[in-house]
Amino acid sequence: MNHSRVNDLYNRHYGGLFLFIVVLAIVPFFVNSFFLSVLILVGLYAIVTTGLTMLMGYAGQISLGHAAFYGVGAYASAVMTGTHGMPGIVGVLVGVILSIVIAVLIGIPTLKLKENYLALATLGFGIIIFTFFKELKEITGGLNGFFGIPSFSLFGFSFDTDLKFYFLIWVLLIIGILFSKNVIDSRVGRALRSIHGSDIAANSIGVNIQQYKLKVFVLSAVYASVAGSLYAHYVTFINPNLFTAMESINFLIMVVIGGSANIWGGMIGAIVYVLLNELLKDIVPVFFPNVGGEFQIVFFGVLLVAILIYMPQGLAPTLGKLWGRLVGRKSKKQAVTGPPNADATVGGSK
Amino acid sequence: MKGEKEMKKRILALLTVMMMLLLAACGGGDADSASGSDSGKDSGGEIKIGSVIDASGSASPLGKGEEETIKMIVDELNEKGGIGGKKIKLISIDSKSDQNEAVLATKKLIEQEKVTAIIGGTISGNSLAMIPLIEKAGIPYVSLAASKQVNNPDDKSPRKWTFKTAQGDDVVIPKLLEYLEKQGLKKVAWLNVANSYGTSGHEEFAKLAGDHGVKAVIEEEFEATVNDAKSTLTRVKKAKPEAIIVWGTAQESAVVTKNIREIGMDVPVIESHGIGTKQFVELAGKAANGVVFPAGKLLVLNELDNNDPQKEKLTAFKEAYESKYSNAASTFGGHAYDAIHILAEAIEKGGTDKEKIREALEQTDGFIGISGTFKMSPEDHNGLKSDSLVMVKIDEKGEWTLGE
Amino acid sequence: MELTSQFIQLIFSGLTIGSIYALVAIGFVITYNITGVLNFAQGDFAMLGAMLAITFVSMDIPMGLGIILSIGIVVLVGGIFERTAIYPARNASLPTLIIITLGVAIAIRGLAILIWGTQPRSLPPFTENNPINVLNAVLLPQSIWAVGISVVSLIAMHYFFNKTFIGKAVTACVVNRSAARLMGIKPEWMSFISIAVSAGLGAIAGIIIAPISGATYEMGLMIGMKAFVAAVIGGLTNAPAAIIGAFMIGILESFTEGLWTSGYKDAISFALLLLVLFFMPNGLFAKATGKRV
Repeated sequence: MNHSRVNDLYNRHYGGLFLFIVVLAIVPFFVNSFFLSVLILVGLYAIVTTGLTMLMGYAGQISLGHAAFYGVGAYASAVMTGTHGMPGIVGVLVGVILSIVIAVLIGIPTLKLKENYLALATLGFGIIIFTFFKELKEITGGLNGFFGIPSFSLFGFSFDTDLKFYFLIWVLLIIGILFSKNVIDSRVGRALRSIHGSDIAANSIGVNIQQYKLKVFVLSAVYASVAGSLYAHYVTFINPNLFTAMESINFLIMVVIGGSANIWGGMIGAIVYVLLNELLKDIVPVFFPNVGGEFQIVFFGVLLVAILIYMPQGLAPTLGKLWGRLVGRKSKKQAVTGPPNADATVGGSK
Repeated sequence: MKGEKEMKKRILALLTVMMMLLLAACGGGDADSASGSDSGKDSGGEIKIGSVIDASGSASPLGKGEEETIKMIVDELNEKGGIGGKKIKLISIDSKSDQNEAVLATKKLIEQEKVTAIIGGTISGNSLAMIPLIEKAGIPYVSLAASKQVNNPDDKSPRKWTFKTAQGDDVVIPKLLEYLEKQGLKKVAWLNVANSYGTSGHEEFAKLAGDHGVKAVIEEEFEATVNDAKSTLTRVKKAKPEAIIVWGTAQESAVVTKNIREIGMDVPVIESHGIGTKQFVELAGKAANGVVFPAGKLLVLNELDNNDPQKEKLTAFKEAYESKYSNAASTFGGHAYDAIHILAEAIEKGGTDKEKIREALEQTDGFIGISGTFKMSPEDHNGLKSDSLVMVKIDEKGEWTLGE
Repeated sequence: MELTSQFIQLIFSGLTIGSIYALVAIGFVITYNITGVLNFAQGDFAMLGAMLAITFVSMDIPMGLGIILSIGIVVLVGGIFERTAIYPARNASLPTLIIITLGVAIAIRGLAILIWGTQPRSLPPFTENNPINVLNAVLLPQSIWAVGISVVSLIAMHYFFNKTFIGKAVTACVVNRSAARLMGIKPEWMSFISIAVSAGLGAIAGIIIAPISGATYEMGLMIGMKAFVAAVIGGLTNAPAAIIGAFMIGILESFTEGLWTSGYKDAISFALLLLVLFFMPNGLFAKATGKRV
């Protein structure tokens, strides 16, 4: 492989990122406030799904309890700022610390094991945490919910409008994605991909696979917790039903839609999931006037299965390929002749 | 490695395109709504009212009737020429029993559809999530949820724009306690379903029971998905209550009611207005016999005195609803009926100016509706008293009769 | 004396609910052993069974026939599920398979709402349901039905897998897939049979719980999860251990409710799951009992 060509690709790669960021920065000035809040919600989901994407795609594990980490963050912030009047950052940090402790406690015993015991443990943990949110009434307000959470402020700057909040969320998301890329592209991350997640091969080349998996799991819990904290500040009212096992499964659906083979997949999944949801709301009644939101439930269930069977890499690589083909035909100079199969596909999920 | 970089580039490009599409979609949405409001202005008279109702999801047994009622009443009002000569345009959004959906729907109604007023929030959680947005935007809002936090929150957060037409716990629980007092039932067992409906009922009960000389000898919760409550009931049985209060909605209450009888306790069972559906009788079977609960007068329409001020309205609502839809008219639909009518009256008085509508809502006095006769004030945005309820008893045939 | 009767009552309740968990848990174990899939749609088969039986009974079809019809239909649904969702993805990773079953579970639940709505429904008890007094505790005939039918079904399963030709073929595939193939057994069809049979067991569980608690579209979720805990306690591969696990969970829950509080009931069951996963990942009975199915 020609050296300058590699550099060229790198540059173009960052060019794309730059363009994307520019678009992100412009978008909010062209949309109404409703769509801005949709984008904020997408951003919050995307922070969670980025962590999950990393966990699924690069550590080969799934979590059925990330809504609980999301909830830990949300309640930590609610209690710290709402009850104790602390600054917003304290709530975020408390949530993060709690999440790290919980993730380490769950991760150490289960990640050693073969099979997918992390999935089972996170499922159990999710339900236990849900029970605590529900039963610790003095602290969480129980099922009546916790209301009156102040808006988020950092060093005296208050994120009290949707526009400010939008930038906060998306800047955090981009930082989160870039940081994840860093972890994935680390020595261990690359080694792991090169051996397609085989434990034996990993040990034979001296890679501590458990430690890497634990690191990824903890990081994904932290992402979820931070997103949860900010969510609480954004809607100002939370209740335990927001953090059920079903919510964890929705996060997984987003990851699967986007595809876990690429770190951007989580974000794509969140965008597509929310957009589809909004679209279905407008389209379904046209064809089935008497069918309500139930149809969407069936739709997402079937979509999930279909994607996993026919497009196991999710939308990101498939759409990426389509795009490449389109562009490749137009610009001859660029000569996109790389193997159609992306080695971006990682072994972790195999 | 080359392929991978290539892939990343493509994906980033794709993302950019998606953001563009998003932008286009929102732009389109803007244009749509803009043209929508333009045409509204052109026709010189259209009042946009938004509704956020759980027509699907777990709260749909309540929400379905609310949505259908609102549609029915809006059609009715429009046939009569609308409000003050202006047609009502109803924008109805299904919040799917999901808080995030309710928040987004509210944003959409306020920002994109620019509605004059909002009705909805089937369950308390959704109402509570919607209220901060509504108070911030300053839009007249009539909630359909029961929790007293909706109109009278413990934390005294603002409720300037929020009204509600459902009987809150602060109305229902006193009715229940009056009944217990009258029956001389002092030592009772309290059981509530573990959700916001049950716990807010419990809080109100705990606060007010002492005033009526009622004491809970045991207070317990049961799950909304309870299969068998006999284990919990063994403790209730040991506490030897004179009556058992079961505070929940149809399914779980039916299980608990059956279990109470199965375990051989024959004390009076008093339940909540949440069991005022035929499902309860069907699910509980024989055990439903003798159960007493506070409810709106709709359930015992036939037994009402002919000079009861509500009788005419109730009959009309029941007939209109049941001739149009296949379900039986419910008290939840009644909340929606009251909400849209009270709102229509306020708009009639106040025009389309939001502050004037709000003031008119606050001055609602003597409106006779399905849930009772409303008398609102700046302090009371619900306007119902416990006389809007009756105690209903389920007889051997599973029919509702007046229980007083 | 009062304490004794309370204890007996708690044990009755625990056994009743435990028998439901046992049927669903066995479905988990069978499916997991033969296909390697953790089937999160298992609980929703119970819901389908209950809903179908209620529908047939309301159509004035005799109860026995209605029940057999509903079990048959759910077996078919299970088979279709295997052919359309599991078989095409048979080479996918375990996480992928788990998520597929979650997708199917969501789709089934959504379809159930479309067909039956969200209102709870009920099934009449199988026989006259007058409480029987046992040492001042109450035993309901429907509970006897529940435990009885579970035990019969479980014995039938045992017979099926150890005595019939098809059953033995399935078992052979579990023990040694390639050897079985050499003997002319098609492992692909074994996956079909195992999931169909598990679906049928789920349906039975749903039908016997319906007269006790009523049925809703979402009932499958919690039943499925509890059964799942039972299966893990049994080590996921050991059917008798899963049955013991199921009754343990049932009794643990009824004692939590009866002696402490119902609020933490679910948390206790899942705390047990975590403890088992952390300290005895092969199940509580890993050494004591034999191997698989």
